[in-house]
Amino acid sequence: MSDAFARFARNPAALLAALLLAALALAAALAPRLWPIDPEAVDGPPLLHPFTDPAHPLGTDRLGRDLLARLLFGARISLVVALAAAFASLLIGSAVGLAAGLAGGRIDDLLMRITDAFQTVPGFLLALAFVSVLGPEAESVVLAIAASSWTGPARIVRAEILSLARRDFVLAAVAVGLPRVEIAWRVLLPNALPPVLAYACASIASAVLIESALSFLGLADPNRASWGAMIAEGRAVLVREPWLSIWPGLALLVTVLAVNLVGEGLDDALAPRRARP
Amino acid sequence: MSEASLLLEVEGLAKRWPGAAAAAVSDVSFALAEGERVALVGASGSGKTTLARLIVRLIEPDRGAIRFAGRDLLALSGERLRRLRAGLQLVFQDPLAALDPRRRVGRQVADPLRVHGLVPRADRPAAVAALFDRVGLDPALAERFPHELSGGQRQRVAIARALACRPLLLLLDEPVAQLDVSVKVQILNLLDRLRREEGLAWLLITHDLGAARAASDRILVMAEGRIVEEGPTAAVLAAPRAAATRALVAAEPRLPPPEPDPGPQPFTAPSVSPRTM
Amino acid sequence: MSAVLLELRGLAVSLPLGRRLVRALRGLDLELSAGERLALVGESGSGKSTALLAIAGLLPEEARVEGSRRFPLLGREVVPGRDFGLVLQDPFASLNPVLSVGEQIGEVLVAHRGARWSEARRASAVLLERVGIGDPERRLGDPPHRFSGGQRQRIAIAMAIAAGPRLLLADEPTSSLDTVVQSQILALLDGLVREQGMALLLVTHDLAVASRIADRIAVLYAGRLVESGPAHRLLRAPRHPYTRALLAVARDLERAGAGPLAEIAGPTLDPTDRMQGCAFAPRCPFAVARCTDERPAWRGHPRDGVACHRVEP
Repeated sequence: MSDAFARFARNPAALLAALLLAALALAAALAPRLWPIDPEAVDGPPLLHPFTDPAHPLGTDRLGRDLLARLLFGARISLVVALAAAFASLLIGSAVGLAAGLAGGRIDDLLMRITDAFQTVPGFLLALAFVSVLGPEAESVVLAIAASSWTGPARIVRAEILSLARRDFVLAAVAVGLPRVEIAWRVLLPNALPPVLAYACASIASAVLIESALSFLGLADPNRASWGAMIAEGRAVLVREPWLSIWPGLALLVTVLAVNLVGEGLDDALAPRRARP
Repeated sequence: MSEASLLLEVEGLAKRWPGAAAAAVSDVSFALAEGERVALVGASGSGKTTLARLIVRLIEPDRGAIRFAGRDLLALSGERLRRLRAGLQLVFQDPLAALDPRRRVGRQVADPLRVHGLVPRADRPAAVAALFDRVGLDPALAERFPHELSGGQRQRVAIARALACRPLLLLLDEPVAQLDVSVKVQILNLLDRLRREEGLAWLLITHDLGAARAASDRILVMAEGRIVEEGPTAAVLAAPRAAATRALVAAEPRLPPPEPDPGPQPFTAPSVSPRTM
Repeated sequence: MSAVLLELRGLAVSLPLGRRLVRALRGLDLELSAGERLALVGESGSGKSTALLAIAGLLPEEARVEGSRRFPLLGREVVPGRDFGLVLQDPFASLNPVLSVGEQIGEVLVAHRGARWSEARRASAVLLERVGIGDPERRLGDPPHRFSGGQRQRIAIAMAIAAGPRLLLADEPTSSLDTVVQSQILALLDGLVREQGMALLLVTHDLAVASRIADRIAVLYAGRLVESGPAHRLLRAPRHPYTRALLAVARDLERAGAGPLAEIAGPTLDPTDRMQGCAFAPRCPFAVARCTDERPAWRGHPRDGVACHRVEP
């Protein structure tokens, strides 16, 4: 694992992206201390241009709320929801994939048909349906995103398990007398996970986007700042006051890009033998 | 050899892969005594690897009986199969494929000690170090990953893992086919030393008559899923009777005899002065 | 001997591994004449496969290369496939699994001989027949997985010789095959090289394989040539202590009976080490202080000589 870390650290783009994400997460976590302005409070004149007032460096929105504060608090929602959703989809997907790959036969068939069923509905529509039924709370947004994205990890894990099961080192583990549960846990899962981890990392990016899209449509909690909601609010005055949308748009762009770069870096770093001569 | 000392008895073993025209293994019977060194040779596709995997029950046979250490191997399942199988260890052709790429090799050697409850947790590092020492490896290498070892070192690790199970019989599946000549003899010598020290028996599966000559007393020749010739190794290879055996002997690449060349030489006779120290 | 087809001078290749450099070749001088059959023999880590890749111009981009590679008889631009054919160890990996074997052989003919596809098809069938594939017309349309390992290696050989190159490079072409198939493939290579007057550079770790097919054997150890000579001389009267040890081990395996086999004891050289003297010195029973301090110069003829301080000239 330290090996993988060293390989990751040698990839400048991935490292930079990881540092950027860490800084963003830190800024979001420490938002009340870094920039102690209430994101929901009317704090200045409406539609203040950026870089004109040091009290509101990024300007204000139509209600006179500070955009920097809203951006930082919005990052909280976006990142937390996206991370939780990616984690949940990884967990559900791996469990289903592992069960299907190990059990084989009818259980495999059944689980894969369920996976098919989820995959036939476009992910965003599925998330939309979930949120409209469950309500706009952050938890239901997480669940909605997870429900629309667990099929990827499930398929990857199952395919990995099936190909691993024929490999010599798995047969060797059987021959040495490792119990089935232990083979699944210690041998199969660690070898099946890396491609899934890289996939899950990239799926954080799509989770950020889905969350923003749901907020943009007004389906997420309207009382909390979020990047998607900010873009939606800016839409009305997009032509005359574009920065209202530009700031959250930029934040979204940078985050998604960084997450993807980290995902790619992980993929390279976790494949110990592919990278070697 | 007496009945009582029989370690492995195979009777009428048969296996046909679904959809295959001919059986991979058909009606194979043989016995192997405690401490005996038997070679199973044959061209690729002769069924020798399938036979080895049938014997350790990594594949289920269609018909036949396998008795190991006086017990019916095919009648066992679950925990009891796991226990008995520990006494019968497989060493694979490609040691890189046979070791889990993501776990330190010391851990993999410790697996059998742990799952068969052979060595208490506190003593395991010392036991692993002792096993490494026995196979001629520096115990410090236990912290390495398989890709950080040379081919010969990996095969030694695989042998150490097999030894950790305290086996009575080793099934050596082309254990030296992928190794350089100088490493090949080291591994063959190591196996021979271990056999003398531990009273191991083995079935050496190979197409390499040199390895068979060096590491077996009795030889079984397989062709088209059947044993076509059987006898003392030296005698069978000196005067092969079955067509398959004759083909193998004829195909063996051999060096010309080492007489000095009578032809003209650019230099005087080769002379290397022994070290005087 | 006829004209020199390939000439390597001081070829050194290093490959970065993390922060270190693996010195795969440490200055290799080698000549190959037109029509000559040379076996480059060495164990893993000796640099024999790197040498072959360097000759073929297929080294990875990050490789650092010094020294020269020349093909005096060929044009300035040496094209793989046209000027030399390449046969690799693993016939399962060296054929494209989604194209029929006829398409793959035909491609070579179209690219390098300017053949039209209709001609290429006929010529491919002839080639398949020549390498010993039965019913070639019908089998042209089959994908590689319909063939056994030995047959695939035959197909790979057909592709390598399709354009009629003057040189055939073969990297352990038989070491993933069983002995029966191995001996058939060696016989095939032998026949083809003779018929077409091609030069052959065979890379192998097995002296017995080399002895079946080579006019001359060159022995590599840790990236340098330690001995080279006509096969009959080198196998019967080896001069370098490493060649002697390697032969002793191989012979012992041929006649083995009771008791342990001869081994080459001692540590191998770390490939990232800079080396002052002779790489074999730590394992050599004849080594003296000079052997670890000073690089042994080549003694004798470039085609029949040895690099060892301890061999009397």
